Amino acid sequence: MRSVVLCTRVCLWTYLLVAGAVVLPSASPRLRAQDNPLPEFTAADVFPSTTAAYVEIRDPGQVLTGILQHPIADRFQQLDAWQQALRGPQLAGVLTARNFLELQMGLPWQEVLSAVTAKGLYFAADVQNNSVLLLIRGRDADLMQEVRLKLLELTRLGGNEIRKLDTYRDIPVYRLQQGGAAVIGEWLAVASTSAGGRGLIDRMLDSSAPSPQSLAAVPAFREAMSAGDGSAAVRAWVGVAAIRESGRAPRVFEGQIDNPVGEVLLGGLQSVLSRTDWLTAELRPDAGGLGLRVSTPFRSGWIPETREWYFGPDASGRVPAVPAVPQMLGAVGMHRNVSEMWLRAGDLFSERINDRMAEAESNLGTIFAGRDFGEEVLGAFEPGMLLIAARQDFPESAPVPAIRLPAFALVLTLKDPEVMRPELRRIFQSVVGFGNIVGAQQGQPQLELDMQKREGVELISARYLPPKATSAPAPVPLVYNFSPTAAFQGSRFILASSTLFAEALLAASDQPAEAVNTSVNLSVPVLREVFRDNRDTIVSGNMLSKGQTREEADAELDVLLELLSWFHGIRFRLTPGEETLQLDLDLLTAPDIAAAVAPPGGGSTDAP
Amino acid sequence: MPRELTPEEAWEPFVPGRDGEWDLRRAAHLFRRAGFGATRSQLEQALQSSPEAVIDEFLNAEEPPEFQLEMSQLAAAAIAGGKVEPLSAWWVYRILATPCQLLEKLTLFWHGHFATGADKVTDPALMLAQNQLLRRLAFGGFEELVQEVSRDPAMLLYLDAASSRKAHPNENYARELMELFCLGEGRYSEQDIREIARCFTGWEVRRGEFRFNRFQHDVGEKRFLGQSGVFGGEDAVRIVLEQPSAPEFLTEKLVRFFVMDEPPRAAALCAPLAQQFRADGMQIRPLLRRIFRSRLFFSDESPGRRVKSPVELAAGFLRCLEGSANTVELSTLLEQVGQGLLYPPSVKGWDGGRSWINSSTLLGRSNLVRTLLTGSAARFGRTTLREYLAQRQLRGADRILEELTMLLFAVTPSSAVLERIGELMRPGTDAALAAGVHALCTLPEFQLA
Repeated sequence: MRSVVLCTRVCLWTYLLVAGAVVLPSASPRLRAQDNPLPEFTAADVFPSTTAAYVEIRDPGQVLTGILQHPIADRFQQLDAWQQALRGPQLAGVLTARNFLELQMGLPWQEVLSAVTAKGLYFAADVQNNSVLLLIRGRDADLMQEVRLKLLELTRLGGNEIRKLDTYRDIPVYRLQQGGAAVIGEWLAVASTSAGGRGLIDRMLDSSAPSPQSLAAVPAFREAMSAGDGSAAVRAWVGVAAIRESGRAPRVFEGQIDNPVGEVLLGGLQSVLSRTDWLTAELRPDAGGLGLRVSTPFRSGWIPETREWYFGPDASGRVPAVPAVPQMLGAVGMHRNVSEMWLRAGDLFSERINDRMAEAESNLGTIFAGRDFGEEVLGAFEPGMLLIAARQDFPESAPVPAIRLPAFALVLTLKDPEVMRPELRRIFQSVVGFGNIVGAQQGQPQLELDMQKREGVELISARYLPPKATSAPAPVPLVYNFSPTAAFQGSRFILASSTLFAEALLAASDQPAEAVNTSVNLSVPVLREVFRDNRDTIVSGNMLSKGQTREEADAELDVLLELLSWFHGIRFRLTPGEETLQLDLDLLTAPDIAAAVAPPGGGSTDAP
Repeated sequence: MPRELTPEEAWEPFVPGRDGEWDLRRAAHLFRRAGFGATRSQLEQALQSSPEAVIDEFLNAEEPPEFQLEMSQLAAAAIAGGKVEPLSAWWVYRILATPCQLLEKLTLFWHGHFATGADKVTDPALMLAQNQLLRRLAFGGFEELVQEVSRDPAMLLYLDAASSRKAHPNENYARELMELFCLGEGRYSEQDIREIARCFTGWEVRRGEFRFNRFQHDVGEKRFLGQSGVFGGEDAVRIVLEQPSAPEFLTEKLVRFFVMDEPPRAAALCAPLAQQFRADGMQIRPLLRRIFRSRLFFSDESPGRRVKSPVELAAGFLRCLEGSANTVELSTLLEQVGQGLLYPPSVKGWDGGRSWINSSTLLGRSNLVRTLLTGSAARFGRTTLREYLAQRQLRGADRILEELTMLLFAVTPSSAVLERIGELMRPGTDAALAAGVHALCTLPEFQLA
């Protein structure tokens, strides 16, 4: 008997979560569709004008169907790990709940969910009143009534019967863990606070005339939402101005980032957020994967002079072309004039950070022979920079380290190659020599320098001398992942972790340049290969950290590798336009999966 | 010395019937001392054999090749990153997984005896090599073990012997060889230390391996411990072990480790063992066989007469309940309560006994047990503790407590205490069970082996 009660509790809460609401309470009879239909309105018509964040899913059923019918969902269900989980105790409650729900409703759960959310799911965060609001619009009022009755019955059986909290304007309101909920016609309304809930009900019942107090009346909202074509599966709007004016998170809008790395990554975006009124986000699933686009109004004039280094003059800075090297794991391309950032440190960072930068500059002066680090060293490079990583190959004769790290390289462009090439060559040699002295003190392997010159290319490399053979074979240390190399090719300067990777970069042809400020690409197939290269290390690490047997750790890694095989890459772009700033984040599915989804001739599987 | 038994009687073989029954309690005692602990099925299987057979199985068990291969691969991966901490976790994993519990326990004993700290050695490959050396020679001749340890690169680095040159002999190793490894305090002179240090000059470490540098070795005559000659390091070890106090020193230490922390009139009690140890050419296996088979070991004088070390506490808890844990986290917790594997506090190793317990470590031990019960990787028989116990038909607080006290306790707590803990477990939830087991394992009786 006890297990039945527990099971029913699980069933109830699982259903509530699946339905996206905590409860579906009673509808007042006089508000039922057939009795006294509500006037037609949208969620934005009844959400308050003080809404700071708004999310809409116009057709959740379609989204759900898209997910369930996607080849990835199919493959996921075929995973041994998933099949085992279905038979295990962790998911037993969820499955029982699903079966119970279907039995009660006489429909598959997907159909129940599609019907309950047939006309959309809408969310709002009212920053001024600290209230969170949710509206779910069902197929019709009768359906919502039926669902309400079933749910009340379920909650009663589970011993968690939803209790009526109050009646407001003849609408019964039910108590939730936080706030309350009510059904009004074909709408389910949920609010986290009573004030927010009352306001929402008022606007719903009085919606025959557009309310100036509604979100739909906010110009920034109208402007933002009119820009889209409404085809996105999920759309969101954030009233940046409202949040800014509410005084929340002042550091996001006005304060210093006060961290040089954070400044390089986000400095310009902070300046935009301090001026823009809104931003929108759209989530679009398609055959090739899942795309998220965040857009916000943008004017290059918004960027203060102290941060012009981020987007470049008139926001014209663009990333350099990325060389197409084999086995490329990922690439980060940025336009950042870090020399200017360094020189303007006094305006950008606190005294504490400035002290540290001054200390670093003093120390670096030893290596750079007294040159001014900000102006003469960093200033010797163009603002466009690339950080590229690739799966590493090792020469046949070279020792292969027990842990195989990816090779990586920084690719920069010299403003005056003739002047800087000898300087950088000397600096590289000094650093290697210094590293040898420090390494010798710590019993580390030593680096051997080499230099090559050939047509148009100069390569200065250092490699660790192979370890001496010992009576007991020992794992090859991590340092053998590295053969630091500096390469010059015209105005291009490459600082690579391995000679082979530097050679690959020199030989590679550039991919078409993109008109973006920042780009990030990650190749999931190569990441998968990197994991496979280090399989023993990962499995052993899991055995120790999870107390697993080798079979368990192997199986867990196999699941991860299988999951990774479904994806092709991750792609991020930051694009400043004349009036709009766009951030695009794409998760690309593997070509075979994309082909299975795409209609003939459709879909895209661009390489990341 | 126990009141009823003379030293000779103490080490006579235990005869079931005459000296007591070969029952679950005695089998559990044997597994706790010769290993870390046993499940009920292991204990019941042991009762099907004689105590002698079970002890011989402890002494003669060999790790299956597949287990050795598994551990080698795991160790190689653990040291691949160049850090010692994963190796410490590896050893915890090995202790929990080994089918040869006594071998692992004896390796732990030798690690405390020939204490070498990774905080100074820092090279995980050298620490692993020493660990393997101690395991390989654990049951063999003591002289061979000392000779090999004297050449071990980790030991030479730890005691600065690797820089001992004829112009400036380093006395650290010579001193510890006699004081800590072979003879004990007060059984040598400062002159002996200086002369033996000369014997070890030129014993160096090059690229992680032992190397004898004949140019730095003092080839002159040395006089120590009543002998003189042109001795080298091997001679020094041999002469030190020829001293009468050598077998007495080691047998007493083994008795404290395996039988009781504070044996009464220890020297007299251990004298028969020491005599046999010398007669057996200082072979460890026969000595241990006599200790474990003895009337004293199975008498009421032995159970509960040792304080569990942190490793014994954690490994015993997990092995008795087929538990697994995050060994990286566990190795850190062990260090926090005073027994970081590969990180002994000094060249003396761990003092053991009552020193394991103080107000700080008592709290730490409690937290350790809580982590074993509720940590993210905590599993028992690859499932939850409640499910594990249910699979063994252990339902209800009384039944569970009865089983756990039999498996985990050398001294049974009072029924009043067990009743109160039973109340904690009555709700039957996972949390209540964990709270009850945690309370049980923070009792003073649980700290005893």
